[in-house]
Amino acid sequence: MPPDRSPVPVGVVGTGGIAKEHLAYLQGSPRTRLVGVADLSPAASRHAAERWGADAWYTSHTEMLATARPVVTHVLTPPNTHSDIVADALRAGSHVICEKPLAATGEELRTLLALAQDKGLWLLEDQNYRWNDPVLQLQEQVRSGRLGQVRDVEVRMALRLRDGGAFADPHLRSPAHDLPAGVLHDLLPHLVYLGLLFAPQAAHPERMSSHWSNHGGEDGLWRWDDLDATLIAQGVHLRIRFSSQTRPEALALTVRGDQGEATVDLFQPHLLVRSPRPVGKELTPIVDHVVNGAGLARSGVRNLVQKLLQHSPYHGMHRFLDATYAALQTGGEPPLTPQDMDDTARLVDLMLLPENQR
Amino acid sequence: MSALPAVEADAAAPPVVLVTGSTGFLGKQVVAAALRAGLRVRTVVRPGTDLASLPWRDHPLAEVARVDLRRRAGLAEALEGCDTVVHLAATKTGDFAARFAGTVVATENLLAAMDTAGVRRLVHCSSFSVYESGGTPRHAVLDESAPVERAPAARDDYAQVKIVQERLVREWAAAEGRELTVLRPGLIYGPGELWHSLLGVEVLPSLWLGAGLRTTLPMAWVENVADAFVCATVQRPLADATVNLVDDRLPSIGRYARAVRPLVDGTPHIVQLSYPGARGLVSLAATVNQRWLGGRLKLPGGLSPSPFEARFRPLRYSNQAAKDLLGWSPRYEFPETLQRATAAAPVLERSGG
Repeated sequence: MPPDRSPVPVGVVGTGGIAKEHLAYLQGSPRTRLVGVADLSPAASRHAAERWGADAWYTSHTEMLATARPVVTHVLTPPNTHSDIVADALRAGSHVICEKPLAATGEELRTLLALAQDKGLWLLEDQNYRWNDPVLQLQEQVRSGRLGQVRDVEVRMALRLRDGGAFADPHLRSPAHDLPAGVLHDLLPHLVYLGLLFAPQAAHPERMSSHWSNHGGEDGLWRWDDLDATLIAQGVHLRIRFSSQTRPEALALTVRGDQGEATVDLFQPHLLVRSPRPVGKELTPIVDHVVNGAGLARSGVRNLVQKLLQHSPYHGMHRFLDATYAALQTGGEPPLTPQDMDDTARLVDLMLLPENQR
Repeated sequence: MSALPAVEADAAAPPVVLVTGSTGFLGKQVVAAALRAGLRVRTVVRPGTDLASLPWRDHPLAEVARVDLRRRAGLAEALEGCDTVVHLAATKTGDFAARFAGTVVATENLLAAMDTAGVRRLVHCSSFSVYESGGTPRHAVLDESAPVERAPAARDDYAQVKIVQERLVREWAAAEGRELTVLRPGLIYGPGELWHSLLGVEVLPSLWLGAGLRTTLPMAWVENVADAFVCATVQRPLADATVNLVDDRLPSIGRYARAVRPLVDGTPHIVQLSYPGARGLVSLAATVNQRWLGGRLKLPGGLSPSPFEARFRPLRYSNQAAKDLLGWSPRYEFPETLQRATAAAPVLERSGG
């Protein structure tokens, strides 16, 4: 069949916080046509349709699937509702792009992936940070060989989750608190898939330990607010850390090889590299400092401009969505494999196993 | 100074008024004014609220309903036996989704629960933010006939959700037998809330950009506004009345800023431009943005054309409709409000005027 480049009919289920990013892409992309939005709140559904130019709005996702017949459905509802809605969309014959975590457990995910395969449809978890500029820069550093053989990868996220916002709302408990790892489960997929991007061996760890802590104290909401996990496989260490107690907020990746190391941050984008330079062993650290200092100064200016131009940390999502729709239109492969998603969910499950907890 | 209307002393069972947003800046004053007027007040407080902190916790005419308007559970039960709802609840912090949920979805749930409970009278707190920025000629009077914003997407999050919220209550009121009074306060100020966004645009925490000193501010002292809500509840104006609320003899930006600066810690330095000068800069930035940056440039709230006009356009204001329809007049004028701002008397013990 020749490629069909006509806009792909798309439906969106859930119009909460993250929907803005999906809808902004869908509104601006020539690859897509927003045929419907659905939300339990009529006012929210109607407002989203008006704001983002949907053909129609619904208060039932099943009605939207039956009436608007989207070729792709974005599932952007709270995580505890994903499984049912994703399954409904797949059974209605729609490809699905779902916010993370796609499912609460690896088993649940594999059931949905099997359903998608059975129907011949795509099911993709939004692993958006894979396509962010700093991650691409880091991949380039690894590919170039400057760092040598990768031996150690650290992914560290610091977010002030307990200081306010939906997760800290004492009046209306976020459904994320009821995930197996509590609120951290909502963020862990990011840390795990980014870690596996640079340490794929860790998908099958030989040894591991995960330290789950609640440093902020019990308040009826929080199960854990800190994670420090280490996974070791084939001589490669992957460390995954989440902190709600430290500042500044960051999503930092460090890759250490047997020749050098590189660090990036996705929230305040910058790159620091320490690697062999053709100036001799004594001068290499000095050149590293000068080069990294100049790089940091450039990053400061670039980040200011990008902030003003609304180049947010969600730019990776737009790239992911665009790659997905381009592949759909041209008969290409999706930008994410079922194995990528399965590995992510399986490692989260492993971190939660009592025998791996410390 | 006008006295608040009071419920008849021999009324066997004063009407029950449910007040949403009762623990907020305005809500506390509305509850206090309603209790002073002799109304039975059922205050909506969120489930996690510390009841011991409520000024009216021991008042014989006060009741508490612990519900969160973002969920429907328990709302209809909270409304049972109510005569009127005074709807003040709105979420003014957080991202757009949080504001939408706490303002629009909350209102949607409230209206559905009112239908279930058979409550047909609503006094709704809207805002000057719903008016179209630039919809009233400069130096003209902004009154209730001014158009509502037709391009809300260009406005800030607060204005957007208040516009959607007001549309919701108007659609609800279109059904037969429902009574709606919409009060649109100007900028509400009071103890602890004196320095505000109409004085300039924050460039840095310590540096703001001003857009004219002589522009009149649409100020509304919180106790005056609270009185107006009680008047609207007791006087029962004609259905579908919409009134603006501002004080008498409004101060200019320059006069207001000079007066409140000594009362507020850590006020920023304001680089003052004239309104035409600031407007020229905003227009230039908008042109550059559209022509060369594809509209991607995001400037601080007040430096985009529509929010700028909404905040700094020189207008005059009238409270005549509020006086005529509600029988209200502001008890306190600007100099006296500043004395009250520093008096720090407990809400329920403040002078009833």
